[in-house]
Amino acid sequence: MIKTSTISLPLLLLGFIHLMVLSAGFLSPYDYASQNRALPFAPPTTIHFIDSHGEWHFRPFVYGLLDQPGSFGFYNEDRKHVYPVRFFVNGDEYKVIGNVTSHLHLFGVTEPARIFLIGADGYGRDQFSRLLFGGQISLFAGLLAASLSLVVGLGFGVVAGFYGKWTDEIIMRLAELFLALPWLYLLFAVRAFLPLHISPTAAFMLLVLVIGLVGWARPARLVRGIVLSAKERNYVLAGRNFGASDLYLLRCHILPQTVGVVLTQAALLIPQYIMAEVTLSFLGLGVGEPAPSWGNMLASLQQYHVLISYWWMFIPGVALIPVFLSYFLLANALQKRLRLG
Amino acid sequence: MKPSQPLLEVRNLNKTYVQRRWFSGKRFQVKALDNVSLTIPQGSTLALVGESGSGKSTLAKCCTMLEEPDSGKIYFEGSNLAVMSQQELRRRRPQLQLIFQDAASAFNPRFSAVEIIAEPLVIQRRGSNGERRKRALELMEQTGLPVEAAGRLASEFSGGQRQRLAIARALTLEPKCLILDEALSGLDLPIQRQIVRLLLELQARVSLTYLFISHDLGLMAQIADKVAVMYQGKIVEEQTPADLFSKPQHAHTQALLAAMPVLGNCTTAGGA
Amino acid sequence: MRFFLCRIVHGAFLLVGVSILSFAMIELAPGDFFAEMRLNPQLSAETLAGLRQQYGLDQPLPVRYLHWARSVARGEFGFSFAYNTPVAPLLWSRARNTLLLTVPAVLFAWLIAVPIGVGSAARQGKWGDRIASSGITALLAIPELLLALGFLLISLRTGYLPTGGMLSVGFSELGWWEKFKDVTAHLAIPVAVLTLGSLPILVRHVRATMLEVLQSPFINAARAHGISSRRLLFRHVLPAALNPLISLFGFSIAGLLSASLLVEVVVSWPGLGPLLFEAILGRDLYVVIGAILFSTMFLVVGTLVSDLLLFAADPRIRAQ
Repeated sequence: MIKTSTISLPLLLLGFIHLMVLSAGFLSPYDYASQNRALPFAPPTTIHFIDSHGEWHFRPFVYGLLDQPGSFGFYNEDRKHVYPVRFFVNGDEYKVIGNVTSHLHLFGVTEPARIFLIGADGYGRDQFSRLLFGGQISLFAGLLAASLSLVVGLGFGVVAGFYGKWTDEIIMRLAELFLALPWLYLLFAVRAFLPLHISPTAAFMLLVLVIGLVGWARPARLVRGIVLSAKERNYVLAGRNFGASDLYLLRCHILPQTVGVVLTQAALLIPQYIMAEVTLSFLGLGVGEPAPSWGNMLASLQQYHVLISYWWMFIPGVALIPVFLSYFLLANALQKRLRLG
Repeated sequence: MKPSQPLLEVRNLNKTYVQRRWFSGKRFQVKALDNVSLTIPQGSTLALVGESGSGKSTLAKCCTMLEEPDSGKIYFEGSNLAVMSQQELRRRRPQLQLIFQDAASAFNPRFSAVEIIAEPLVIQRRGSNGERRKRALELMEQTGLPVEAAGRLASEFSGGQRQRLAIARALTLEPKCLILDEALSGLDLPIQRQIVRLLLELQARVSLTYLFISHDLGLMAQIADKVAVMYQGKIVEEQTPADLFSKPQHAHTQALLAAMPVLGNCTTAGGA
Repeated sequence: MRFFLCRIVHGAFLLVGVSILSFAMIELAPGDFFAEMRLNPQLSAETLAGLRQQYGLDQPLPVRYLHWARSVARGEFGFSFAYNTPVAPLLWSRARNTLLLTVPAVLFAWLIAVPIGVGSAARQGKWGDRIASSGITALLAIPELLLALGFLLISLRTGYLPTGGMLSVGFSELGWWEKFKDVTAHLAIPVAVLTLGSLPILVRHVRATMLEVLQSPFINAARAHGISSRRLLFRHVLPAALNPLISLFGFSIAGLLSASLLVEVVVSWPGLGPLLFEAILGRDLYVVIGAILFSTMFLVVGTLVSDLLLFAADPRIRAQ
């Protein structure tokens, strides 16, 4: 059971999730910011095949929503009109890559009906669209920040391990300091002392930068260990005997040894960093409105009436579970692979 | 270089290892090399024997400048390696090669046999890919390795074959001198004999100079022109094998001789 | 003895280093306590400048650090702009509340994790182990945030437990036993969340350590000698597994103050978390740095405790 199948399964799942999230513009029926004030907290739209007359429709359809009399935020279906679900429709504009935009969406319904696959939030915004777009932010913030940490950690680790003595001492003391910091605290502090109201893109970049720069210490220590032991191997000494330069030895003999550790650390760090972004955004210190992040989508659950009545607002949190699970299984498989050599 | 000048000469070499621990009162000092001097004429074989911990490996590493001596001179072909610049050292190093005991870690486990042998050429940027491969295969033949094994990983070879691989790699840049640090220990006796035969062949053909480091006095006596005995970092005796066995001068040499295994009524010592 | 002196000095250096680092990092960010006030049209620029000067915010960084360091030496840990009091008493009372939360959580987590881990390792590959491991992995994938929100939802729906806060209204009028029950009821959700959150990692480490020890040659040799299972477990296996577990325990202690930030904010528990959060939003610099330092102190203490325990438990370390 230790074969590659254990790596490819979580990897596949992660690839699928990331692909879906990247295709947010196409897959989601609406733009993440398009509001619908008349339908706050609309529940997930039921998709019907059989209408109120008992007729079977080939094409699935939805009903419009009417407010329940005397209540706020509760609805009944308006069975008078049938709105078929169409595929490959024209909708809100979105960016595909760079400046290339498109209007094509996978599915949608004609106005004035709305298709909220997983309901709507307080402003009537489609949660499904926001989930996909928000995934871009949350998932990739974690990925990018982890890459940053790993690159910095790799650099420091290699320098410390290879050049030894004073460089090693200094870098390791520094790493100890960074490891001692309660990083979540520091993260909050640094983030909050920066201007609180900045554009979502800037916030995203900032988040990645701060999260990434604080976490270089553990990878650095691990890489250093590997470099130290690899440095003393006889084949490195032999290479030196043939007149090899430091760069050659690093490139051909030492760095390849670090790949395993770096990948495993990546699989462990990414979920932590995703959680950091979600936490920050949940508390309002991360990506701000109207840009969605799985964190700030969960923020409305802090109000009791939302917590009790609108269960679909939990979904961004639940979406984290398969992501984390895949990363953990991946890390597990990588660790097993490493130990087996 | 004058013909009478020794190929490798070591003079007054000193090296001390200090193990320091912060906040600890003790400092462990090991004097690995204590005023060591040796001379190896070209084309000859010098054997260096002694117990573990006597400083033999340190000497080997210092000779190739893998470790820096605290003081002393290392003359190779007349030039002092200890004071050379990095570039000069890079040019000289290929001439003086080191073969390790631990063949297992002597090769990068991901490299194939051909890549291992050709690596020195890659490092020194000599020849094209095709030329390098040709030379590697040549060397495999010379050292008795099956050419079909060219693509195999180092870990798939047996102990004896790995030593042949190490020797092949060492020969790639046509060195003048080989230092073999316990290269024969850990091999089965018949394999040992094969490798020794190979080495003697090569020496005759290409006129190599050898510095053999070993703790096997008996074996060394059979192949060396001169034997030096090392004890606690010092050279305590240096004689021809015959003289060493008949007239050992230092107490430690006598102890080594006495400790050699005796089979039946004959010792492996030449002579008596 | 020298060993511990050395560790304590080391820890002191670490604290100083961390304080300098945090100071520097926070100061690098533009903006301070009075930055938001700039938006208030009623406050003139001169008033703000005067306020800044009064609080010493216009001094260069090293000077401010020295002032702060002196304040730490006096036991005050700086001054809170928002609360207008020294920082230390503020931190202490909140830290006490946080510990009320995290200490039981750590205890429960260890009490549950060790038997599960040991049991899992002993039955490696069999059904018990497989079920436990899958359950633990599943739990690992669930974010604490989700757990906290979920438990809150359940408690709101069922009305069994109070939702949020530490004390009920009218707490001071209750008798001793009632007070105890009240606090415990409020503790239930956050402690449960924290315990469940830290359980997976602990179980995995305990299991992995036990497995390693159980498969080591000297245990096999002991088994071959015919030692009884019980003696084997208590005299040979557990002592060998102690080392990494003690280090892990040190980490648990280290995180006592900082692990609960999110949970505290979500359930409105008046601990260090919400204080820090408030201070961050209000740019109350010295409270933030004080909280960071407090948390680091626990890390130092945690490492020291685990070193002490290691010294007591491992004869190899004593022999050095």
